[in-house]
Amino acid sequence: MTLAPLLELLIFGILLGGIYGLSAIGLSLIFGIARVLNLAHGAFAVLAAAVSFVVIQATGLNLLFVAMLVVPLFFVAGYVYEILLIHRMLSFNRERRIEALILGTLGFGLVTESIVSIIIPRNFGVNYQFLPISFGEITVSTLRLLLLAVVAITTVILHFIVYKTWYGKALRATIDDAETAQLMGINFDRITSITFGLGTALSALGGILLLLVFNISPNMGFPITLKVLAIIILGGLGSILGSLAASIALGISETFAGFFLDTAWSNSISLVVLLVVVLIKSEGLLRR
Amino acid sequence: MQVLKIENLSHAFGPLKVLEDVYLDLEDNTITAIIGPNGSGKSTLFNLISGTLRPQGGNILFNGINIAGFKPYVIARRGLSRTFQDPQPLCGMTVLENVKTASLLNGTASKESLLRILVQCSLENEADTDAAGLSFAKLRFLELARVMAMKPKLLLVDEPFSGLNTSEIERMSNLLLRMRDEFGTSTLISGHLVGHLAKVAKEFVALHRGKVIAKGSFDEVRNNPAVIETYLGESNVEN
Amino acid sequence: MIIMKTAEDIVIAALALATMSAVPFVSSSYIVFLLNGIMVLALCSLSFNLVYADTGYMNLGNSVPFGVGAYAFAFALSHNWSATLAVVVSILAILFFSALSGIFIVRLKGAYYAIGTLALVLFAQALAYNLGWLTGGYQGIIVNVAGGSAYSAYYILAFLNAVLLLLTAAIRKSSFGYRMRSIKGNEIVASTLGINAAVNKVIVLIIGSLFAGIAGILSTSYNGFVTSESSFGISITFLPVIMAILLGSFSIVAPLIGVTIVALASEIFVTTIPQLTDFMLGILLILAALYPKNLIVLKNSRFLKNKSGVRSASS
Repeated sequence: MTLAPLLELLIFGILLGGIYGLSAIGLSLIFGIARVLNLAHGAFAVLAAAVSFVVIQATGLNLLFVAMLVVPLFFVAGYVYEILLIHRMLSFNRERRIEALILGTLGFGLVTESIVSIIIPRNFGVNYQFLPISFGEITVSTLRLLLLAVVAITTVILHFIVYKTWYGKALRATIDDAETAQLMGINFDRITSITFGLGTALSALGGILLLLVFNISPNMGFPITLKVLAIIILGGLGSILGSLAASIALGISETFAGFFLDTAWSNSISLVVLLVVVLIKSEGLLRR
Repeated sequence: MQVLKIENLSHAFGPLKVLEDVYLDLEDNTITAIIGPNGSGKSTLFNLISGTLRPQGGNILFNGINIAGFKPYVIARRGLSRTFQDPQPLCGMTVLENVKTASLLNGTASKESLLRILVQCSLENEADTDAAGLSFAKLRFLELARVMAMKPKLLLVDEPFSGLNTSEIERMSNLLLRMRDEFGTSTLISGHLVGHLAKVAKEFVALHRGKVIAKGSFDEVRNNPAVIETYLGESNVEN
Repeated sequence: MIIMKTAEDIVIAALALATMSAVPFVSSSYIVFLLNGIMVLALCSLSFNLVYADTGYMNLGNSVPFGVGAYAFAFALSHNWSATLAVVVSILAILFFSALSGIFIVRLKGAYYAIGTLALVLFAQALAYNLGWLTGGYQGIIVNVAGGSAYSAYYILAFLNAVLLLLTAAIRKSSFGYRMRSIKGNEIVASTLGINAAVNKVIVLIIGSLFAGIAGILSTSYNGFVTSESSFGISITFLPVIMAILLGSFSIVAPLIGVTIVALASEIFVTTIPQLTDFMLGILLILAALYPKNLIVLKNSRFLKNKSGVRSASS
């Protein structure tokens, strides 16, 4: 086994991880502010991919352009989703709230997925022809480089948002100490809604980019959600860097597993990771 | 025979040392009070003894056996019961069901014996009320009713008097004394209201910042200079 | 909860029993199939409720033992083992898997429990897809079933539903029931009362899984096939959950009516517009999240009162 194909796999794994990472950061932010594990997160990604696919097929516009239209749309979607559904459930008492959130986000994910399967009743993906670039022995598709660039740029923009804007400061303040933040005039509800919008937009972007990588099936919503959950729990709930690191790790493992074993098993990796991680997390909460 | 012997007990939450080299003896059939300002480690001590927290160092000998690191339910089955600083009712269950669950430790108890306990705790009128709906004082007595049903050899009561008025404190004190006389329960009771504690407890142990600073009878501890210094400025030292 | 406390209850129960026994004789096999499907879902729902109502834990992976039972039975039959042997082997498989997963699952707390069990279902789905030699892969396994199997399944299912209902009530009154409810009430306190939460949770999980697994065996026995979708799919995973949560604490008449409505509706959807099944399930889940226990107006409040006539707060 020569080095070149392995390096290609590695690059692909990092790329895949980066795309997962976008969605993971989105969920991480949502969890950070609202302590909600949004089980519909992956479904949004798939819906975004489906919508973009339809638009591309219909208009022939290129994907990045479509993404720039669709992603803000999903910001709004996430915002409205929070206001209409999540907000109501957040006001329940503690015991009922967890149940309600699980079932409610689960149900919404199902609804979203069924809408996708009605719009596009089959697997779908997008293929662009790009000229590959060679670095010595390694051939990398320009496409992948482009995707890496998009992910990197998005991360930078995100960093800017979280650390330099008013919203970002308010977000960090609220995550740190919600009560004091509110006393200082920060509107918790507004921040939560904005964060849901942002998180959903990120997930949407991840979904759209995924179109370029492999074929998406309409019921990929939940597997993606569980992958993202595994990532953020592994990387530390609420930690952006941790989520990024964990997503790249997962992307690489999935890629190598898919190559050496079977594609079917690569999806199970994230499930096993999730089960293990959730076990460790719960044990850790037990006695200390 | 010593019911409880604690040696070199230490515990830290990260860099914060909550308990340092704590030592304690509890004789059979005695009630000992643990006093100390907030943050001195009283609740942590109780959590370590009852198994809710796993100790990082030291021995906790319950009737000669080191129970440090045992799971809470194992320790409870060996004869230890406790109440909590913030009353913790079993939600979704009535007062009677709360006490009944506690009594399961000793096998099936008749409804009469359970009601008798409720009467002693003045809870007989709330037998079928949801425990979560009780007033604060009644919740405190519910905690006591539960441990009474368990007939423990060793009892930990965490600040049971706080939030109660004088007559309620007196009722609770009598119940604690009664447990000692009827079941032979040895009790560790923590709190601030030293004067009230003195009416039930024979021995006193004073904690400060996780360390034992004084041990002895009420008068010995009360007149201990280290204790006075700790309590200076606190209005808790009553006569 | 009161079962058969008043004369009215007894009459209703007797009438229901009589009607149900007569049905197979007077209706077409399609109706029997339909009712079997409903009763399978009802059994899974009661099994979910056994764990959920008293411990508060949502075992979203209740379809895993169901699938294990269904597949094991199909596997055995397709290898021409005798029916008795197939049943025994299937039950052993169910017990084995539920004990194994149970030991891990009960260590999970709160939301992680739900997420972990959900991951288990997807994992089982993946396994069913990929272990073709065991499960027939995407196609599943087809078995030849005797002509009258739907009818015998009918009576067995009805019997099991009744048994589980009574068992749930009996457990609730027993010491075991008190222990479980205390775990839901306050797990930390329960442990200081000498209650081994983990063991109790595993026991109730195994009991629930056993019933769900037997439902799976019966499902294969009258359907004649098992697939990854039929055993770990969205319908079989979530419909029982929806039914259990929307119907809250049980009585005899109300949930059965509710179950019938929901299952009938899903039957209609499945045969006409399959894609909308998931849509409908999703909506129902959201409703269950927002309005648990309020949806069924039929519910007679009498059934919610416990023995002393007091409405318990979290019924």
